[in-house]
Amino acid sequence: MPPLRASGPLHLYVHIPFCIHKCHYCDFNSHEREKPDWQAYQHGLLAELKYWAVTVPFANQHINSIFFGGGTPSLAPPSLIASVIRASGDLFHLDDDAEITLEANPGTVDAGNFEGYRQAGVNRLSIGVQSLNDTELGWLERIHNRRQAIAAYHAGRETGFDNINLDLMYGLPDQPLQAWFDSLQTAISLGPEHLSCYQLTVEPHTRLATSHASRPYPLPDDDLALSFFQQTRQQLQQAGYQAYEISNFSRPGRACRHNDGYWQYHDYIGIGAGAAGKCNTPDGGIIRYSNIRTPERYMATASAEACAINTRESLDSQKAAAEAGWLALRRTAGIERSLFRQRFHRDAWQYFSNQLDPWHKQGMLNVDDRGIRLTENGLPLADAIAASVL
Amino acid sequence: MSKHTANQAYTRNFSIIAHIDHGKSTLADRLIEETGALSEREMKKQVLDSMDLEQERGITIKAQTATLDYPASDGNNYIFNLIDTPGHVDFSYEVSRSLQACEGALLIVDATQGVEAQTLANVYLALENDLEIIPVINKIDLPSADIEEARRQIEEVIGLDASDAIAVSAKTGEGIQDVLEAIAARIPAPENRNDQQLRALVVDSWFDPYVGAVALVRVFDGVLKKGDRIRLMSLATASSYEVQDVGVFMPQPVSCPELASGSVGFMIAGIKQLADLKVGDTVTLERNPTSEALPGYREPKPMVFSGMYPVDSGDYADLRDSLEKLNLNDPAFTFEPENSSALGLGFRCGFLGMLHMEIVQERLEREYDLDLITTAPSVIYRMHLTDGRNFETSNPSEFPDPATIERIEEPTVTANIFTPEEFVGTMMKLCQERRGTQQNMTFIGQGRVMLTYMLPLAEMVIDFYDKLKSLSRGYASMDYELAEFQESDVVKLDVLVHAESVDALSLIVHRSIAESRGRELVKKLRELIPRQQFDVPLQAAIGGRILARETVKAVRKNVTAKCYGGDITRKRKLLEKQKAGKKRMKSIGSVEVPQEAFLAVLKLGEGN
Repeated sequence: MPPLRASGPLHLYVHIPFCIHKCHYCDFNSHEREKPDWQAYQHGLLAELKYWAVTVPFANQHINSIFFGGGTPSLAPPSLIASVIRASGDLFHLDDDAEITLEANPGTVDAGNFEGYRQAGVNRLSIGVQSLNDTELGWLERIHNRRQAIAAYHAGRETGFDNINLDLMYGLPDQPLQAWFDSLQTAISLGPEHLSCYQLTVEPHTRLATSHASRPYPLPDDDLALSFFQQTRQQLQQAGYQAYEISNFSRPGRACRHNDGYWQYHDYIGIGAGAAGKCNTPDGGIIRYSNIRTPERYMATASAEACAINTRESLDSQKAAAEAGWLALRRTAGIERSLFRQRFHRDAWQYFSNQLDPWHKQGMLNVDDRGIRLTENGLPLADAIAASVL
Repeated sequence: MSKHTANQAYTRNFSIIAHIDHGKSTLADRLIEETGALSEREMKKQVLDSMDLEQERGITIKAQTATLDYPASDGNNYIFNLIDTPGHVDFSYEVSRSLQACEGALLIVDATQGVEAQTLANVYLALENDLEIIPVINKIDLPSADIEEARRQIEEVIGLDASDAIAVSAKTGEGIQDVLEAIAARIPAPENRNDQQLRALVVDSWFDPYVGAVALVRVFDGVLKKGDRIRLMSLATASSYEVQDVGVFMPQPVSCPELASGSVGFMIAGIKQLADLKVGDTVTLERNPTSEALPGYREPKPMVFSGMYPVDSGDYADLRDSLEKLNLNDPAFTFEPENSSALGLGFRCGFLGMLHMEIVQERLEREYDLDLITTAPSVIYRMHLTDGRNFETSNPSEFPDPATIERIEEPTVTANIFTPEEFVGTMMKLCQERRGTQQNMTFIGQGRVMLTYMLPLAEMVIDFYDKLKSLSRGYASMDYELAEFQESDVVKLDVLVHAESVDALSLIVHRSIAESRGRELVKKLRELIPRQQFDVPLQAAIGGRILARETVKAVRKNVTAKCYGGDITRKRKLLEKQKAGKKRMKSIGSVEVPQEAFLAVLKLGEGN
């Protein structure tokens, strides 16, 4: 097999699909199970890791980050987390400074577990706060309240985590701007290294979508959504957070390396139910796979066959370039021309100028020697602009 | 097979006339089955409706026929020619030709519904043709059947003697024998006129890919034989054709040596183009021709027009080929190239009526797999200019400069509306809104009323029938016939999208409703045109005067909030879909306009 093109660092995503309660807006692969079979699940994860460790192109690579996402990873016993991290080091090369994140639900926090995760090697927490308003949390069907959210943050700090993210959501039905700013300012006052702020999206196949279709919720119109979006960016900037992606903000140097890897078109391994992975192919294209989604079917298959892939898609070099362009435009750094040239052997602006020039002329894009970036005007229309390169 | 051609005394030619859904096809099936022309196993339900579209819509589009042997109780063997008639007002000319071929007709009235609009229209056509009418009251098996009331309505509303109306259930077969006996006993036999010069009426014609145009003919005078050389009297040219085959439908085609006077059957004569074999035309012999054609022939005249454009302008040639092919089977629609600045190259098509338009569109999309943009239907206007010039047009883009117009005439129709009393007010309001003039109102009993209105055809082509049905919760029925052209104060309503006048959206409308129509139209367009990256003003105007204005607000935010490793494929596909959707739209200047917008005028009043 011909040598693969450099694809930058390799990342590992580990999906923990279990939840105590699945919130109505959630479209992640999460499942309510009273007593998950953690042993079987761990077995499946390790079997998959072993499989990928001997499979081209992942074999012998350096892993630069691990991300335990969910579902609710903070339900998992620390021993499971520890065994996955240990196996990653044993089977691959785990960088000394690897970023290892675990998502935690404030309703499941147990100080003993936090200590266990830290000892297992987790060095970054991502706490699903969503809101710091109890009425909003109730509507969202979260299993925690404002007090528990704040307590979870402090518990993280007390356990010694010096890299914490808080997830927040805005644009809830009838939510006044001020109510959102109250949550946002409270979160800022806690001093986390990182904040992710998402507009609530009605995703298909969720309970929210069903109820919204029969009786629409008063969700913000375009103008209000734009105010949420722009003022959120302003407030975070004033508080010293840098926007490095559409919905992600961090203290300098504290961007999430793992997530940023997706937008930089790095390769990643995904293990666990419904997890997705991606690798470059020798022809300049990519292959992406995703695993069986139902936890029980996943466990049975992963344990028996060491591989639990459900679907695969491959993109040729041209399609991959378009996809890479779309994803990179989500980043504040945009499409970096030198990296794009390295990966696709073409100049990004020459390649996309037909589609992007109209946007450039309208002041939606900045183009210079370094790269192609959305301007403040272009950011809110990122999808329309991205769709033109796809 | 000569028994099918010879003995006029035992031949009976008849049609079945009915309102849609009153059970015409079921009764026809039952008659075919009872006389053993087809075994039950061979019977595909509703044999006579053979086109897919007909079976789906439950209507008969082309007339078809079946020849049945019937040994009657008087000891004689009869030959019944059942000539099917199309069941829709758009095809009333075809109906009248079918009826002309008969000596009698079965009039079906649904015992649960009573007399309906189409019943009446068809009875009048039958009476014009001097047919013996046998009233048949159908669906007597249903619990809500009221035979006496149906009888009363036949007498009072239609004015026929219903004392010997036959009560049947086409579904269970009850009364079918009585119908067959009545056909033999009551419908007059055709005359024996074998010694006259040949005159055969083209009752229907269709295109067969193997043998060319085929005619269903009724021979009135003389004998039509295989090998004869014939002429079609409406054709100016002296071209003649050799009869290659004649025969009858049993209901499958069966050849026979000749069709004598009084008989009904098919004729194949090597005629290449269906357009040459016109319904209502007279067939005569080349060597010994008659001097006088059978009465009633007229050229099919399209009354409703619309523009048809390929969504993808690259499909223009395909559309032209498809129209040509379809035209071989259905010469009643017309088409000629048209150029729209908004839609590019397409065709202006003419149809007999709204249903005919829908059928043609549907066949183009279904059988020829074309994506079409159809513009709002319009009617023919007669333009009289101050300089003495006259012309007819249906196309808003040919609307003359108002300063040069002396007067304009538009076609009108006489419509009969049958409605339960409780909806009379609503129906009258609808007709008034559509510029109707009331001509008559009759209470027909059982709480039902017949309204007769004179209405502009232009008001009928835009969702009148749908409105009538929805406002009466489906209870009202309607039929109409064309009346004369009348002077009318019509204007051209322009629609401007992003300050650009869009020819494909403009309309010819009556001045009195131009403003409200314009206002509704731009409001509807605002819902149909997707938001762009900039504000798009929509305006309705007459001349330079703006009557209404709406704005499609710009998209201000369109960005996926979350996009991580597991979401990428799905989110990319969503964006690709958005982009593909745009490709199916027409660009008008910098604005993307979807297909539906061009039919917005048909959707006025929906969902507001």
